[in-house]
Amino acid sequence: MLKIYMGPILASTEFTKFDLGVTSDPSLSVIGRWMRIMKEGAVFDDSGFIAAQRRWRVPVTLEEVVLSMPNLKMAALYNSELRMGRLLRSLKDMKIDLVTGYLRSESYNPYELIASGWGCAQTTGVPTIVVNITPETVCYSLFLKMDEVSDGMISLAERYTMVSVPVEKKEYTQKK
Amino acid sequence: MKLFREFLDHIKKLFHSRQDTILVQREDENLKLDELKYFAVVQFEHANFRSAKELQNKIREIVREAILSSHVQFILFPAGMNLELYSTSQDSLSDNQISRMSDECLKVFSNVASAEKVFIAYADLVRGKKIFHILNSNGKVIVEDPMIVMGIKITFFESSGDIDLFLAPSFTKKWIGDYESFAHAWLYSQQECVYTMEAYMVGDHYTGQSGIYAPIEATDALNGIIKQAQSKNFGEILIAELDFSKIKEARSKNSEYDRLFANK
Repeated sequence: MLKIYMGPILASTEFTKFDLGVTSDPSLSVIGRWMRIMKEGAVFDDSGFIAAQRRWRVPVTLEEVVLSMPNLKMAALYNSELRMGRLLRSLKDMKIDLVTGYLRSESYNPYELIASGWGCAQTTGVPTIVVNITPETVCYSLFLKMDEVSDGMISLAERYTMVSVPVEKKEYTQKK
Repeated sequence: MKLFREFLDHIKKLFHSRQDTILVQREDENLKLDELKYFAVVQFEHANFRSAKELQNKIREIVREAILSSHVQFILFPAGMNLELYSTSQDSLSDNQISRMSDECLKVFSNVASAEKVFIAYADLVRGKKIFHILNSNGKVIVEDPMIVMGIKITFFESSGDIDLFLAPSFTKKWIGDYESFAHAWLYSQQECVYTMEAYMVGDHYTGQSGIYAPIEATDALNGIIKQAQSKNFGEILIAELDFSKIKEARSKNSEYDRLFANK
């Protein structure tokens, strides 16, 4: 299991020992590994150094949406990409471990959030974290592929939270 | 005996006059048959019918209700309609018997489609496998897939082609969570920018929630749901007017991504 903190960097001090932080904060944190999902794009930082990034634009190649780090392959998608069946099926073929998404909405719409996050998790088969930004608030959500006992909606629209997702850690945390 | 014959004739006359009335009524409505936009999904309440005739009467009653309450041109029934003619499970029937009953079921739908001048789609369930059927308003089977009905591309099969309407005749559903309303068909609408119609068999030990879905952007409430059954156990008819230009508009927004998949 991969322990993921989702929320503002400042509030992360409430939690200890997580493998990955997902935030919409533009400021850098020199401690830990962070996926910063911002208005312009997604940036993966490792101890304050930028390791991989993607700008929000129509990608030239499919590889552009995948941020590959040692032992973790993460797709970064934005808005309608999270609901693009063809794109999501291609990502499934690329054997990614996790999807992080940026969803900007005019107002909070759970249907849009579920279609984007839950739908993405069902099609790619991997955990999907969505940072949903509205004019009023920023919410973090986690969705998993549904199975016989769970509908796959683990954490829907939290301001900050810690979750454990079924991603094989490989050597990812051991190197930390 | 004579009295009985007279009684039968009277009943026949009554039946024919009712039929004529309905056909005339449809003509009077000035239905534009060059444009397909009025659709219905039937959440069918299971009942073991004693004969094909009894099933036909029930199907016809439902179809007439849909036509009279709106100008429905296309109706989707669920999967497993052939099972309505069985009184036993398929395990105890031979392949020949199953095939004969499926033919009988097709004949029932064909009769209703031609009598009521509507397109009807449904699926048989043969040893757990769905066999899809679509009949035109003359009761003839359409075999092409995707089928093009008045310019609208319709299919039963999931594909990434330029489809307008996806049909999901379903049988029964196992409920596992609170978000079950976000059915497979609803999600398919969101990810493929198509309208979807999903019809379930309900009643007895069958459950399901039928619906007509669209991409979120194509619905006024921004929820992707055009019509959804109120009950998971009782029969219902869901009727909707579908505007296919909305689908094309929603799809065009993602056209910039087409080149990514051009060689796939």
